[in-house]
Amino acid sequence: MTVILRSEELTKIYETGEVSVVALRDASFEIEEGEFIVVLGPSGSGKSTLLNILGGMDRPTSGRLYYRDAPIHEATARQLTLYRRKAVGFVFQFYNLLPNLTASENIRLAAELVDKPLDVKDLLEDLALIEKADNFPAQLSGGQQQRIAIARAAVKNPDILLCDEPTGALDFATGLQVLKLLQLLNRKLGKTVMIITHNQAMAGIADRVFHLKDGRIETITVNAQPVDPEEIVW
Amino acid sequence: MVMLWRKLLRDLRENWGANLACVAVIALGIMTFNGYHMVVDNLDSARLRFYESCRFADGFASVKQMPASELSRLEAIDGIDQVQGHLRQDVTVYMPDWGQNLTLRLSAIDPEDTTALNQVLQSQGPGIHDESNEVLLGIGFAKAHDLQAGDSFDIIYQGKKQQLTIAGTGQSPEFIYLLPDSGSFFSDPARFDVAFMTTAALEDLTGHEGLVNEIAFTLRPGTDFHQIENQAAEILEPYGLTTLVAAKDQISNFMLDQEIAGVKTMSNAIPALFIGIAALILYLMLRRMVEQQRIQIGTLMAFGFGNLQIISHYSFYGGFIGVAGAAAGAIVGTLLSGAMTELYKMYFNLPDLVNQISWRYALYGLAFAAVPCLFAAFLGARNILRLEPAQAMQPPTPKRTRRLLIERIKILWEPLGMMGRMALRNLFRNPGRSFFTIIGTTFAFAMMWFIFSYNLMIDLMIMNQLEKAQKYDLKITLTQPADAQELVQSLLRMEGTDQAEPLMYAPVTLRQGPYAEETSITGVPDGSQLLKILDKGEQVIALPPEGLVLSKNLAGKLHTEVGQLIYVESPFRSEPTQVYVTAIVEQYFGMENFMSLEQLGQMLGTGEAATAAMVKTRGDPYTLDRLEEKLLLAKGVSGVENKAAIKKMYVDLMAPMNFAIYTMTLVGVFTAFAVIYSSGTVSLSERQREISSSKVLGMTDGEIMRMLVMENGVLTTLGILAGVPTTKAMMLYMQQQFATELYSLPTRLDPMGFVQSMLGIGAALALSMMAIMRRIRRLELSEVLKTRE
Repeated sequence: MTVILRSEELTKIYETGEVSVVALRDASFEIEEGEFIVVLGPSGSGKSTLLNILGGMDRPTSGRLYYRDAPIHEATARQLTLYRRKAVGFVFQFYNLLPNLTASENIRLAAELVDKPLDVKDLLEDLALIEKADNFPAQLSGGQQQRIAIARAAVKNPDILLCDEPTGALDFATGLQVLKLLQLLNRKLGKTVMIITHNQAMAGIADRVFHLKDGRIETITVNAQPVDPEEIVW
Repeated sequence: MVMLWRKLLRDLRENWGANLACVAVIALGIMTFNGYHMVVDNLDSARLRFYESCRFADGFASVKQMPASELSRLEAIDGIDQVQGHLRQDVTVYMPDWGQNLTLRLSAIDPEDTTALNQVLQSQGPGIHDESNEVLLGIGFAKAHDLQAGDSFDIIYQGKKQQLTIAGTGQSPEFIYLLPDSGSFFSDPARFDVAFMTTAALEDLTGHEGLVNEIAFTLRPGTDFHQIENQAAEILEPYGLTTLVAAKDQISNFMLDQEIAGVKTMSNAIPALFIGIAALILYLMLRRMVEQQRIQIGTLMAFGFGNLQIISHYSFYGGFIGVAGAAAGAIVGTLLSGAMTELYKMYFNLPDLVNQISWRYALYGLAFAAVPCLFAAFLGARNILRLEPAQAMQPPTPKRTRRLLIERIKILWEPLGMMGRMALRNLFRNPGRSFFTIIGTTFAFAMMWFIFSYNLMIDLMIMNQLEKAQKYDLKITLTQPADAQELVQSLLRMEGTDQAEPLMYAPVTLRQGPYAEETSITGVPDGSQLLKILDKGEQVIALPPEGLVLSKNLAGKLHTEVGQLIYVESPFRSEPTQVYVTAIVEQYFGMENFMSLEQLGQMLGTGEAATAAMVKTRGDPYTLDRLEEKLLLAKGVSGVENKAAIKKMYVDLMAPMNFAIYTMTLVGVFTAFAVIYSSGTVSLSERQREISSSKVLGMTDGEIMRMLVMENGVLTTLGILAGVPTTKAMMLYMQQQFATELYSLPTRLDPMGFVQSMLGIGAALALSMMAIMRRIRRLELSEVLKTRE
């Protein structure tokens, strides 16, 4: 297996006035292509900071991050933009669809960023959302919006999908659908998926689980037998 | 980036009200830009064509009279090429139906001479065939009196009536803009125009055979007017030289130049103001928009949209509005230039004045509007780029609300109530935007008050003079001085005369130290009932029994003050004499100096002589007309001035201004509306949550409205207050720009205009509050409170 992301002692310190807050401390790990990772931790444990740095949304205060040997920690703003464009797809807790673009337009917005996007119509069909294609986000349920958001992340055909509490705003059944979708993308298309959550129950579906506390990766556990989302309960 | 464009269009549509206001403000600016620039081009090119085809001269001189044979002496001056002299004579037109003074300037021409200077362009009729009574009449006069080729009318010259026949209409490059003299204010071709007749015919009419009083000449290439000025003046001086000017100072050309220069200045200044306002609106709008779309922007960044793509997206929002405004403005501007060109046809005798549409200005206008708008939007949006994408995804840190100074003053703060306090705090929450509302209101208010003060200005300059100072009905001027008492007696004997008083106009040179000015002194009888002296256009002051009342303008030039002795030189006296300055009066129109008639006579040694007289009639128009006619035909009378007719002339001339006042008021109200509404919309979007929460808590729409009105009321009141000195400054600037030897504009602000402008701002405030209220009513409470901010 190829290592897709390599993190060496990543540290992020926020300076606010005279107070400095260490949000992430010496995070070192490797993620292989096609892995399904769940990052677990209570709020304030540094999950989002880690995700943001891995996704090129924020810069580490110190430490090194490599995407397929490319040093992301040294990247210029322009290189970071290209990294986000080509390598990463984001899924957010509150979907963040652009409110005045329709479902399909939101997906096409992302598709226009890359040379070889997936087919928007195929994606909508796969997600069983074809009949909602022309609806605006406000006309969709939370689960539908999140599925569109996942399609929007996937359409660029990125190597890595980074998901920030993707089921956090959804009820159990809808959340389950979203997780199944992510697993499908992981298994069928070989995407590396990283989900951050405070929901312990989700640990079961991951290949590996990172446990974060106070900005530190306390342990990394390996699931020999990841389960299907249907088998977990929360 | 099709989708991003689609988002742009939908963003634009969502905020259509404020956008439309902004587009309209830009359109007003670009309309002026396009319209005025095209008008300038139209006037300029029509003038150039006319000057070239009719051979407009390079220099002009007027003398009292001079033998035509002397012209060759001018031709001999090195640098002068062609010289041409002719006779010119003002005559009174006798049209009893009009019951007023009409003057024609008869100008001699040689219709056969194709090399002549200032040729007349004939536009109607068979033309002159050397018949002694045939004229080519000015188009304006012909039109105003509905005269056609073949028609005849009477003129009065030296008390004799004569008939002239119209052989057509004509225009000369010398008379594009017609003014009776350099002291006149407006062209009015119905009452003063030119007519052309052959030299032989005019010589016959006036008896001035072989004489000329108007000279035109051309200069050889490379010669400057100033090089020949002194030599020419030397030759002409003995013949009573009155003016010697280069083409650029020739009165008609000068007036046209002034007009073109004025329009040119406006053509850039006005658009700059409007586009400045629009740019400010856009800046505020975009600043708010990126705050509002912060998460969206973060999302775009997360997906790999670059900074350039994002900033362009928001800058284009401004650019799009700029382009839309410029396009609308270009279309309306073309219409405006058409309308203005038509209007100028009424005032300027330019045969080939046509509206030429120039796409060049549409393009310049596009750049003029789009670039600042694009830039303003860029400035408004650029803050968001300072954030790392991860920060952009987070809601902004709440702004620190500091306690206001007034909050510490309990006596003021406590009675404000919750709503008043919220209103006041909001004003300080975004001082930049509050400031913008104030400035916008100031501008709109000043624009309105400035234009509303026009009526007072005209009152002070003209109407008060006619109503408060000149209490007579008719004023006659004599061909030569006469005994004052005899003159009054003979006037009183005429039927219809109620009162008569003599006047003496004495040409003098006043000297004080090294300063000297040629002017005239008006001798007024002590305790005159028919002529009062006005100071500052409205205060009647008594004529001092002793000494000289000097106009402020002249006093300034002579560096003199009340109580000083100055020298008076007069053709009536060989020795200069001295007189005390006893009063100085400020006059806006004309420069008149007064003395007691008796004293003036004593000083000049003329006794009680008079060169003019004022007559008050018993009042009915019939008697007045009869008397006027009798006086016109009386021997020794060179002119009769009918005050009512003059007043009517001014009233007629002012009429188009009412339309301008009306238009400017609308523009002012609209500008204020656009400013208050757009900053109100921005403020509303910022406070949707707060307002929705208040509604949920049970605050009524009316109560919310009251808070908003209170806020904006405070801002507009401040704007109005700042508008007072701004209007004054605008008036002072205008006074400085337009002051001439003969008039200066009063800068008094009209209190009535203040009230009117305030009402205008009030209307704008009410309209914008109503529009904002509509948005508040439509706020979806649940939606607003659900969204994350």
